[in-house]
Amino acid sequence: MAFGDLKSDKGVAALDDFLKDHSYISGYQPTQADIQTFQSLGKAPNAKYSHALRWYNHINSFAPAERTSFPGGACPMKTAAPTTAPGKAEDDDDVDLFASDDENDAEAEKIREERLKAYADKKSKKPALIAKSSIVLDVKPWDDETDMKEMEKRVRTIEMDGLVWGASKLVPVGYGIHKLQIMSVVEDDKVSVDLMVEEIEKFEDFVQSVDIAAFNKI
Amino acid sequence: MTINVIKCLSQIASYLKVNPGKITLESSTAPTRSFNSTVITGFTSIIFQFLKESNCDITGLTGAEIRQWLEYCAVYILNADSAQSVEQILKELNDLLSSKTYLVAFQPSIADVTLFYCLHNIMANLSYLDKEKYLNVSRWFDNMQQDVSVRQKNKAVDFSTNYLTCVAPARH
Repeated sequence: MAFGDLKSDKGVAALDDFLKDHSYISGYQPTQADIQTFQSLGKAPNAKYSHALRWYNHINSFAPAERTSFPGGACPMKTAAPTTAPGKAEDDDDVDLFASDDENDAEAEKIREERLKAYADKKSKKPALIAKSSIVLDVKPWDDETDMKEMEKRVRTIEMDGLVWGASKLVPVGYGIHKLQIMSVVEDDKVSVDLMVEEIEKFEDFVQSVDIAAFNKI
Repeated sequence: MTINVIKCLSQIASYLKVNPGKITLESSTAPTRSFNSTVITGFTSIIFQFLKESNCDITGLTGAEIRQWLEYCAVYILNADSAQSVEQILKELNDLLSSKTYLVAFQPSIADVTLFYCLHNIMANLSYLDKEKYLNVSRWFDNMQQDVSVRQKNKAVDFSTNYLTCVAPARH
């Protein structure tokens, strides 16, 4: 399903958000993607979703015969949905401080491979038109004595094809500890977010953990 | 901030694939077109003459609505001489386009095309924040400019939100 469950409020809200700056679901003319979404929506959306309603009325204006003659179209939201693996958060909780390094490495290697595979799969399914994502990362230090400036410097040393670092700031967490919030823009096809996170986590002396605070398709 | 009426009309003519003839601007805003010994004065009248020559017939209710839009372009947009009046126009259009994909009925018409040419200069010079502010106009404009026959040689206006994503990531 393209926008999550379109029978639910959340799905309609996602659709509304997408249609804010799009006249059609796919490209710049009515396509089968519009019809599919239209059909799964079923009824006119609530008036508070003005963009979705505008689009609904527009698609509704076409006669059934016209609708079948629309060209096919890729639905950009379908494949581009949540790119951040939901499993990531669990991994963070699982950190076993007393585990031996060997085991850690083997496991990390395995996870890494799995992720790379999942990423490659995802990449092959993705239509070419999706370009970039904006990601805000939370980088947390070990304690209040960690040199945040040095940490930021190290994070910014990471270079990947298609990755651009943006602005950053320090956000107080409590007890004098700050976390580093850093923005980045990545090209989806070139950069794996998981890989990026792992790269940052390699600065073990500074970084305790990395979270994805926000992830947006551009 | 004045809009080039002659350029606007010749682009409409080339969109409709008719000969624009000789268009001159004699009085302050009323253009005159002479072609095949017929002389017509007035922005909307000239466009209607173009339509007649390209055998596009617009009648009935949609025809009336289109005529109103052409008048709107002629009276308000072509006379918008201050930043304030441009702002006012964009605000009006933004409100209106929030519930519409195209100006009249459910498909692009000469009203959309005319408004597109009238607004092109204004849209091209808007800041990213303003484009965001008049989101509905931006969406409509972006959709119109994808049609190469409409856009012609005009530069495509960039509506990417990359820039805003860096400035205000929470909203994008």
